[in-house]
Amino acid sequence: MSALIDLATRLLVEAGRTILDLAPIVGVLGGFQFVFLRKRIPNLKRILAGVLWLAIGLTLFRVGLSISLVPMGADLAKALVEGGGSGLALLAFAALLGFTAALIEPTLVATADRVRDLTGGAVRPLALRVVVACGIGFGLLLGALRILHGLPLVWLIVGLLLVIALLARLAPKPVVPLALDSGGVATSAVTVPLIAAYGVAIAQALPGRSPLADGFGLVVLALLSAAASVLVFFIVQAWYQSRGGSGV
Amino acid sequence: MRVEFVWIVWRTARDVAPILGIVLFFQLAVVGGAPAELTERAIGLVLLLLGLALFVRGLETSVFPLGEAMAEGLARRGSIPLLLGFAFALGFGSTVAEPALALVAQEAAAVLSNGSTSSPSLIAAVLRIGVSMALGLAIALGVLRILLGWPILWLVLPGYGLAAFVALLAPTPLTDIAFDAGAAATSAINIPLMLALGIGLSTLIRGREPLVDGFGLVALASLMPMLAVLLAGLVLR
Repeated sequence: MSALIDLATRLLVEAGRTILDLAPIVGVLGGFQFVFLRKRIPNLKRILAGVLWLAIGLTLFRVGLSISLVPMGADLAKALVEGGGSGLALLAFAALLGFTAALIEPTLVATADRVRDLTGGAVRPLALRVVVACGIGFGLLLGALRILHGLPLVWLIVGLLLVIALLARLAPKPVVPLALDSGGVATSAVTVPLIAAYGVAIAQALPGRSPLADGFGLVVLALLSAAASVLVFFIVQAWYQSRGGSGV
Repeated sequence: MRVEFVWIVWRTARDVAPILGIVLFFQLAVVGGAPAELTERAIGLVLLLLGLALFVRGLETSVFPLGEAMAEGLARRGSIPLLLGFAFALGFGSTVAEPALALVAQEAAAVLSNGSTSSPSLIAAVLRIGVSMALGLAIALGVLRILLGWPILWLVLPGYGLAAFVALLAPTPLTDIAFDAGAAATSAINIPLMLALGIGLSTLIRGREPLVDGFGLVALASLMPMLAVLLAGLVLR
């Protein structure tokens, strides 16, 4: 019974936070609409209903995330480290966690759908999401490697930037902005909390590595790796198409 | 509408299945037993699923159409300062109360306040406002880019290069946090708004391709907060 009350409290608190989160932007949009635009918004009721669903969905989602995947991921990370197991298990877990988290990232889902609309169906949403998720997984793999071996973050970033610069030259020009955005899009509501929990759990379980193992740096590596991954995907697709294959 | 909702829930369930599978696999293989607090975790997963479905649905029926309509409406008025002001306000307003950012700001403040006289909550608040302003500036810059047709690479790569350069030259305790701050700032609410703004503008303006020019805002929005926090680390050292 107390667990139920606890859950209800969490939901209320999170609902409050969500309202607070949405308030400024609703104010901005409403303000600009009222002051500068003044013409009636089509489908206003539908849009307001959508905002309500969004708010409810965000609340449920954040609470659900915080009491399920986040603690589960953290417990697992801790167990993996303490089990004295191989760094390999840690790396595999990091990569898989990143991959699957990115796959369910709502902003990526919505973006992939939008890309499908914009390309007239030429880019399938699931394909794009899987490609981005692979990038995120790889980025987390790099991050975990960094934590285990104490590799400096900035050099890894510089390395990824050089790879991206090279890939961007090879890729069809229209896809570059999308690729660059993919990383930021995929690191939002799901991956950032999960990665943070994972990083903190590792930091606490690996004594003597504290500065590096703060878990920071994982997200930016994932972000850049995702951009590279999308570029590779489109390079391969363009190459494949130029040889007469059908699109993805 | 009902049927569509059911389909979204099904798709979400299908999407969450792999992550559930992975976590359960590791749970059983590594820990060798059921996770602690099984019921609570299970309920959490249901909430997660439902929340995701509702959220995506809400996005697609509100934020995208509204954002694009407003972007087009404001662009039609032909005032660039108005458009840039809107972009900035959008970025600032959608980020300032972002929980993920609040968390990162808290961590950064804890690191900074070791050995400083200011209170951590003040530092955290300053960081949040600073990051939100940086994000607002980024979106304004991104809109300018769309209007003027600058290639995105020319902004993003040198920007990240600058960030790496600053981090190498003057490492501070905030350096690592700075890099993640950008990704933390771009989250569930401002990303869809940025996309709506970018795509809306590109659809309206002649000579701009929505698929090509509509993107790039998120990349900039991830970059500027990074630079802002790196600079903050330098200044507050």
